Amino acid sequence: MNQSDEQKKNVNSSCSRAKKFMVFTLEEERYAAPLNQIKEVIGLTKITPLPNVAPYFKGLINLRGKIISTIDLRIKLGLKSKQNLNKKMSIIIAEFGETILGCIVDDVIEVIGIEESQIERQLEISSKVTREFVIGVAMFDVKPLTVLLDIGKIMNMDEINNIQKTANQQKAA
Amino acid sequence: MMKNDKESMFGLKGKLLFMVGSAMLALIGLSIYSGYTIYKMSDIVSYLGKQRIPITKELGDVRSSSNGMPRFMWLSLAQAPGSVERKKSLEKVNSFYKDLVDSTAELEKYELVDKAKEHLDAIKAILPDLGLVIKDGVKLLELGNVDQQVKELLMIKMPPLAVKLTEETILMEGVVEQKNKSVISDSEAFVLSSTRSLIAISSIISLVFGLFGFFFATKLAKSLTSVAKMIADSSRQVASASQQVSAASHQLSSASAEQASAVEETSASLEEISGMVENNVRSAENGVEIAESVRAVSEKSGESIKTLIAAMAEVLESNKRIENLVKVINEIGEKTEVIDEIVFQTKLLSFNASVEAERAGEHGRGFAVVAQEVGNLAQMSGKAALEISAIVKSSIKEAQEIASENKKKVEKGNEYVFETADALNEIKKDVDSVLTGSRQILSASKEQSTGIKQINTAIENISKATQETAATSEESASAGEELSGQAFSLDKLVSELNLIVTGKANNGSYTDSSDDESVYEEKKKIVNISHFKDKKNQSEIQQTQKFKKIVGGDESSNTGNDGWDKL
Repeated sequence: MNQSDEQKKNVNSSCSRAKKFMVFTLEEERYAAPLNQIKEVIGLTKITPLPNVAPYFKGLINLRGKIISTIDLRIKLGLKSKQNLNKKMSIIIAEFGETILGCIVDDVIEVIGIEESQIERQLEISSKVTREFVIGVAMFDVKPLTVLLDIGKIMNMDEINNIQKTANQQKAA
Repeated sequence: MMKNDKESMFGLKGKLLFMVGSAMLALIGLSIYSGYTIYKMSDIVSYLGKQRIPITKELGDVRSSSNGMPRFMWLSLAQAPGSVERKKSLEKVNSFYKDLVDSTAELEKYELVDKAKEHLDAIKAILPDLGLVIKDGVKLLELGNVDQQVKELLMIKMPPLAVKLTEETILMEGVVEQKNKSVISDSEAFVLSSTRSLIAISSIISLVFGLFGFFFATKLAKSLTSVAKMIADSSRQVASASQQVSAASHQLSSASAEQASAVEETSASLEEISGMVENNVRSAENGVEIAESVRAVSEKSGESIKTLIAAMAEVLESNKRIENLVKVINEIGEKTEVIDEIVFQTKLLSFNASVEAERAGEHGRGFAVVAQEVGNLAQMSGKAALEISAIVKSSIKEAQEIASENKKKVEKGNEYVFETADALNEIKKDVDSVLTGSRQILSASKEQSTGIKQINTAIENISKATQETAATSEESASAGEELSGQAFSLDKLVSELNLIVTGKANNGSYTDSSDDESVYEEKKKIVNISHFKDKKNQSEIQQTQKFKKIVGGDESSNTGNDGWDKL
């Protein structure tokens, strides 16, 4: 009940000044992405792999008639992948402008409002994740540190665009 | 020698019997022959006395009668008629005639030669005529007055008859005499031949038996000498043996004393054994009782084991139920997974709702809250589902563990139960065998008890026997001494026997006489002299009797004694 009260408080606070983030886990670590970058969340579905692509590019999924490229966020962020894909995993469908990308995450935990005061943007020590994708680290009273990711930056990368194009070409072909 | 005698068909006794028997047979034959000869002689004599002499006498009568009749007839004629003298003469004539008739009749009765018979018949034929003549003559002469007739009768009729009668008589006499002579000469010849043959036969018999007797006596003397030598040897051996017997008897005496003590010990041990056997019997009875109770217990345990087996089976049955329960729990787990899935989807839905609410901006604020709440609920459900899942998993695990443990335990229990059942069966078997064994022990112990009683009596007998043995051994010790004495007396007897047989006073057994003396003296010291003296005469007699038995076969038989006497 305490937890739910706290969540309510968070929700209430987020209603005023906080920005909403979706919290998920990668290799037991908490990560979060801005809720406005996310289109929807689905469970792991059938992924059709593509030949001659980077290892993090897992393939294509069919989401209600739309072909969406899907990457393994763990590999993309350079985390050592301990486990293969499983049923409990989810795919976060991110939307940035015209680009739609599926990101495979271990588990989606919650949607949380984080105030600016809670975010530490000046990070001297880089984590395993490439610094350019990281917005900062959110601190909580009871919850562990959460790394805030900028999925838009991940999606802007040329590689992904190329792949997207290739995929589109293949689809067109 | 002995060996040869044994091998020959007849022994010494047989030979002696044969010799004496044959001699007796020969004597009997000889006496029979003599008797026969004498009988024959008496026959001849009686023939002479009963036949020949009477015949001669009768013939003499006939002759005197035949001579007398005419003579007195003539004499009466010369005498005065009617005188007493004439009467007497005539009476004489009549008596002569009567004599004549009687004699002839008498002669008929005797055995006569054919010729004599012819003459007698001739005489008989004359007699009737002569009778008539004599009758007439006597009648006429009695009347005394018819001289002419008388003269005619006496002169003419009577003379030829009388002459004929006389002739015939003389002829018959001649025949009879001839016969007599021949009979006498025959008898003389018979007597002579009989005498000769008797002399010859008796001399032959004497010669044969003399030779046989000489041969046999030589042989007998030889064999007796050798026998005496052997007896002497034997007596020496007997002497040494008797010493051994004496020593052995002493040993036997001491041994029997030891035996007596051993028997006492045995008796004591036997009593102990008897006590042990009684204990055995008691123990065996106890064993039987215990074994029976154990058997009863084992039978009861068998039943318990059966119920236990049934209980085990029930446990197994309930294990199956647990397995069923596990299945049910598994189903619950599956259902929980479905819940989990729903929760997951709900969560995703709530997030999407949140996303949509964010997109809606200010208008979606309320919806965002709802989405949050839904998300929270989903989270809670998820947690609950996880918990349920964990519980289900642990339950399944536990149930499976319990089931498997139960199964293992039941299997092990079954094993134990079967092992126990087997063990019980074995116990039962063993108990049965123990029971039979105990019973056998019981019966065996009872038999042992009777056996011990028998042994007891046997030991008593042994004890008696031991005492007897002790007495006997003493007796045999004295007997051995006595035997030793007897050996010396035997030795002496042997020398006497040698004296009897060969006539020389040398000892048959010991070649050296001085040695013999020394040995004799030595042995005399050893034996009990008084005893020896007491028994000496008796032993000598016995020895002699034994010897007689050896020689004659039977001391009471006359032939044996005769043979002995002759020797």
